[in-house]
Amino acid sequence: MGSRRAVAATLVSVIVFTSLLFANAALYAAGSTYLSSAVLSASQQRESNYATLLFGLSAYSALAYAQGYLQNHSFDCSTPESSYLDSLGGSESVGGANQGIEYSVDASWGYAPGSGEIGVRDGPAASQSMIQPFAGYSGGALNLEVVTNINETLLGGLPAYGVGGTEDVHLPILLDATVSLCTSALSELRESLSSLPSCNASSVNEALALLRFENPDLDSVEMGASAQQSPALDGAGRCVVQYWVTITEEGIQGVSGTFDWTALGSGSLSP
Amino acid sequence: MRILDIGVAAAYAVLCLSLISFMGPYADERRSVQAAQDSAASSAIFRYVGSVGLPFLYLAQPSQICSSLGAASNRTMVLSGVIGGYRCPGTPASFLGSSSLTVTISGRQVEIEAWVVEGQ
Repeated sequence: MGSRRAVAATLVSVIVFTSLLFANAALYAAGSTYLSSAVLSASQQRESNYATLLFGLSAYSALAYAQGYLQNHSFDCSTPESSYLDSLGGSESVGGANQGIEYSVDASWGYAPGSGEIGVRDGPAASQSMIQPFAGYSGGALNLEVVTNINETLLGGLPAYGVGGTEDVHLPILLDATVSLCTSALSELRESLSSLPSCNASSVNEALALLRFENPDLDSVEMGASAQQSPALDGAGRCVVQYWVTITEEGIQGVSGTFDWTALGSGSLSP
Repeated sequence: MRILDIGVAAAYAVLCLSLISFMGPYADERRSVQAAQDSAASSAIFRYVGSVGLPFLYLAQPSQICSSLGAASNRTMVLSGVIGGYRCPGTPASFLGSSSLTVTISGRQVEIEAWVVEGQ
């Protein structure tokens, strides 16, 4: 009788502890799944956020490159503007690890001649806030189109994340207005100097003064010219006039601080 | 027989209790909460960078960046940073979750840190 009780008690004990064990295993499995989900979700969120930052950094690099070029190279409005604007283009490939994420970024950019598109196409829209106030397309300014492709992997494995997109950014220089003013000033100057009464400095100065008087919109344009009698084989000589215009935009706020940008043009004629 | 029976039952009970204590769900729960808090801190950093912009982080004086980090902090989230070796004040003594991000902008290194100081 006592032996049966002992066996029964043992069996009850086994059933109770086995139930406890299974219940605990179920809780443990649920907890592990929740942890995995939480970690995966946090990782994906971090990768997405970091990709947005990388998009912003890519656009920043493009703007900084363009600003450096504008600072160091004057725009010559007496030559086709395409070669100058083409030089603003560039590309870069960077890679590294940050925030537990291994990443690679391939970016390329170039002058955007009035695409009319605004903001980001395909990429994360939030990246535009990273480069405020240079984000988006701005009519008349220097606009760049930046194409960025990003690949990320969490250090040590999944999840992998890839995103690509195109965004418009700008530097607030008065590109269209300045180019237009420069070419028209150069044209007006050539016109004024084409019929000098005599080949000397006073005639040139009179022509310049008259041009300024008749065109007050050229106040912001620096202009100059010189006239020189060139020796000729027949002894008569001829008058060679050289002229130039310069327009400087000062204190432009760029991504790397304020900078100046100069547009200039020059020519010569023999009236 | 009875002693053997009690021995087997006791051994099984000890085995079960060991497994239960080893597979405790509370450790994972703590880690899940920690991951969520760290993720919240990380998101706060990206929100801050998005709100001020990269040009600001490159151009502003360290003290200006520290002020903006202070302004972006609130009762539950504290933001601070290190800008070119200059450390902003405001590191909390205790926190529930944390994250940091180092951004290099045209050679200037800015480290932004965030701490969750109260449950969210």
